[in-house]
Amino acid sequence: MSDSKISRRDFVKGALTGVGLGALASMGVFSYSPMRNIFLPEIVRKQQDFGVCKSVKVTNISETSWFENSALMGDIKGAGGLLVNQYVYNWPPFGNGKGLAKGSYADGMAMIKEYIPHDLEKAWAIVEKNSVHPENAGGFAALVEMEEMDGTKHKYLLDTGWSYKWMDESFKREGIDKMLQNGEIEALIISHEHFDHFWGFPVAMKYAPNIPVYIPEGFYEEGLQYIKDSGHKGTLTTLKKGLNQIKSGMATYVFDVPIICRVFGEQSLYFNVKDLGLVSVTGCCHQGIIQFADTAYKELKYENDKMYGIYGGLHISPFEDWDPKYDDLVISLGKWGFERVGCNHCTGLLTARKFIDQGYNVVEGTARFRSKSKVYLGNGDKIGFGVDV
Amino acid sequence: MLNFSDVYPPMFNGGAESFFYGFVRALIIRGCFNVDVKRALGIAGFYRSVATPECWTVKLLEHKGIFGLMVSDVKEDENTAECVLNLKYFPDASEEVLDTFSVMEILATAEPSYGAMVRDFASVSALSGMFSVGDILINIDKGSGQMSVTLISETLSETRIRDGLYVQSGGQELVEPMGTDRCVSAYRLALPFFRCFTGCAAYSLSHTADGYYRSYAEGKAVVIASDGSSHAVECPKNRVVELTFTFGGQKTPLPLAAFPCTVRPFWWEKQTERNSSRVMDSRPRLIIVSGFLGSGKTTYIRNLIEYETDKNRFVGVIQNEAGQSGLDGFLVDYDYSLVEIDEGCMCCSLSGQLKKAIAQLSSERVPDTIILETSGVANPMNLIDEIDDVSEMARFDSVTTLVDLLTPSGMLHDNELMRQQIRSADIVVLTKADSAGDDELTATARIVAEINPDAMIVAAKGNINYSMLYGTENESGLLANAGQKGHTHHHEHIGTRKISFHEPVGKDELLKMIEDMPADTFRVKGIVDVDGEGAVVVQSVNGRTELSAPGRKPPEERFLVVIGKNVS
Repeated sequence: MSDSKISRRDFVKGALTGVGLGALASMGVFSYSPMRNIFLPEIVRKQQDFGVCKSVKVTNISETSWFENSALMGDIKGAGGLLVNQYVYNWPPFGNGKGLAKGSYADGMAMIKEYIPHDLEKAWAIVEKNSVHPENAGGFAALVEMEEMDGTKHKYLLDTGWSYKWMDESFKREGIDKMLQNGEIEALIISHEHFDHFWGFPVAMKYAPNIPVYIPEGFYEEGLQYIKDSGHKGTLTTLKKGLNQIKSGMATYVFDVPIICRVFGEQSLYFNVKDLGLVSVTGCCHQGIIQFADTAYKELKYENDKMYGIYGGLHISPFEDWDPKYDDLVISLGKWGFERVGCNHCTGLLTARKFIDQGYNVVEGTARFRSKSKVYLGNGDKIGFGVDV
Repeated sequence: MLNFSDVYPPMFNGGAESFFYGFVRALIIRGCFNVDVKRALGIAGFYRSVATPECWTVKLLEHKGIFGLMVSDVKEDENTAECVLNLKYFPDASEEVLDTFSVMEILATAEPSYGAMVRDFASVSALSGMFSVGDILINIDKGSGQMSVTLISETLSETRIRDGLYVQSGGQELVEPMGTDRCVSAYRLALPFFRCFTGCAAYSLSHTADGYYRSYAEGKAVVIASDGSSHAVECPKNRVVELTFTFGGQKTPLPLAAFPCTVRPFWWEKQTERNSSRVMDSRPRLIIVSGFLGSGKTTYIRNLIEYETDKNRFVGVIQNEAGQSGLDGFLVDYDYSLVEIDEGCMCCSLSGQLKKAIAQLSSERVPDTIILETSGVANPMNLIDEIDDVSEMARFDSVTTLVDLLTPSGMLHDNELMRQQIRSADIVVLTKADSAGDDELTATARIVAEINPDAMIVAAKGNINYSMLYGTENESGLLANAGQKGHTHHHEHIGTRKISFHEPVGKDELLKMIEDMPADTFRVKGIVDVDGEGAVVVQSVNGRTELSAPGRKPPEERFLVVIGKNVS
């Protein structure tokens, strides 16, 4: 090889300085012209068309998934860590009275089955006696209202929260109980199987047992059984990974990612709002905002090729990147250009503040009904895209 | 029978290719969830590319370069499903091992966009064809639920160029005719990642390997001609290694016990229950945050707590503010455990206190991270014995020292205690960079680098990316500089005084009172009822005073703590 005093890497780089890669001769490993092109990623955009709608409005029914983070994390750690099956924790409503990490779906359900979904007060009273930290359970649920181009409006319930007690109160506060009873809400979309988004399922069944339900592919056996045991009598649709159109301008997208507490898969909602651009509504966004936005860019066609708004959990990434600069970079570049950002508490104050620091229009909340910070859209707060709220 | 559906519930419903993308991705992601497991696996960071085709990159703690993994082939029949993953190693541009890579590979590392390209390497045609160090083959027997994972790699991956390689215009020769363009010790590079990968598999499937086998075959070298054709030639130095771990009850030729202990995967000892604490280190890590009075420790720590919480890690804080009231415990408004050592300054007489505090923090649940906030007038050098004393209970990570950029440069030169704090740091964070000019930033950074040339120096403009600071295993500057004698605040005559308030004061009166304090007052803080405004948090540093509303229900007591020279 080359001179022993200078490293080969420096020698090679030096020999080609100012000459250009095209000057390399006699190799035949790759076609060398045009050289630069082989260093460019091939970006393929599918731009699937899922129609267009007029507006979207989101009402935050409850975003306080749990009330004390330290209690929740203590339970998770005490039960053996982040990969432990969520049905084993002995959290409400599946408590069997045996204590942390000694629960099971079957045991817990056996204790409350006869009261579900018609007498949830009775069921919850039993749950409170047998579960670990029942007072810590809150839940996430949102009402999503979309308007078609012809003015027809559709209501969807996104997630059902966790605690029967808290969710029933929250539903009543926002009038969701009536809407469910009247059949005003067309379908229930469950973003993922996590306790705080799904375990309040019987509360929705109490008011609308026949409502169509959409879940993402990846639910475990216990979760599927819970839907049955909660008295659901309507259609259940399992959506496959990727894009699933619901209405013109409204689709869900299923991400096939593992999530902590042994959950798999999460679906988020995409709306293509006329003249504005893409609006995304997420539960937790466990897949990470980077993947979420990149997927939209790659897969979807939307108005003005613009990402207009986002509501929900905005985790940057669920795990540490090997190049941490990248996380900051994508935000600081403002490359997504969101014009309206609404966070829920899944976002984390730090990330919310990063968005604010970068000049994104983060819509403030009112910190009512046990929501802790105004940086988020809290319980009872609303956000509109293409419509005033 | 392995429980694949636990890792990837859709199983083979979408076909084998969909299964393997989902399964391999889930194996690695699950390995990254738990901080103890991640450490035991040696993972520093992970990125999933959403480019097409999807690929994954992993940084290991002990390697400067980046490992890449992409699916190169999937086969399926009734009984088995098999996947070949191509394993890459993308060396850092400064790494010596890069000398063994080909001219093209070296040139790729010199591209300004190399790092960004590596992230999506499978969609960059040049990279997807280069940097290979082996293949990983996953074979699943659908009927029996058994799995084998095999690394196939060469001890010396050699490429020669028949006609040589030179720069056309100048004629400078890069590779002589029949010379070697690439001679990479591929197996040696691939093995650490393979350990990590099989560790992820074992952890995700809750199943250690049953056994292993290994075979060697004669390797070849490849000769490339200028027309692009190539042929293989004898290469006695090269051997092709096939190393297989089996999972799920297969009969295997060799028990795991025969596997060389130097390259055992982390789950090895977990299985045999020997020294399991060493491989699965569940001790909380201990981060010491030091800094002169008013340098921004509280803000820094509050953000660090939020960052850790966001990554699902639980934080414990030990505070030792020189003062009679634990005000900082009140200012930090987030969810975490807090223990205060409230009996003066730890730097002089800490003995046994740190141990007690960690025990108290860990009594209900052991935190993942413990932040020890030293008093502003403490010298971390004096903590060495104490850290050693608690090594059973906590894994010492690093010392971070905060330096306020608005500190007069004279102080950096003259204040021995401040210099000691900087000297003891692994990381020096220059705070309040938003208010300081570029010149001040450069000047202060230079002085800090003179005092402590080993520390990582970071300027805090807005938010700090904590994974950049604590993502790697730092060589501790505190231990490196341990020989130096500590300098404690008694020698500086620094003291504290508390002023109690029993009724509201006028705002102007309060500001005047602070203004009139002696020039060598470093810091005033507390909580006071102000006429017409109610409870107000007072923070004053080097003559800059801020009044703000309390973030949550304030404590009953109304007081100011004054810290400065000759205060008693």
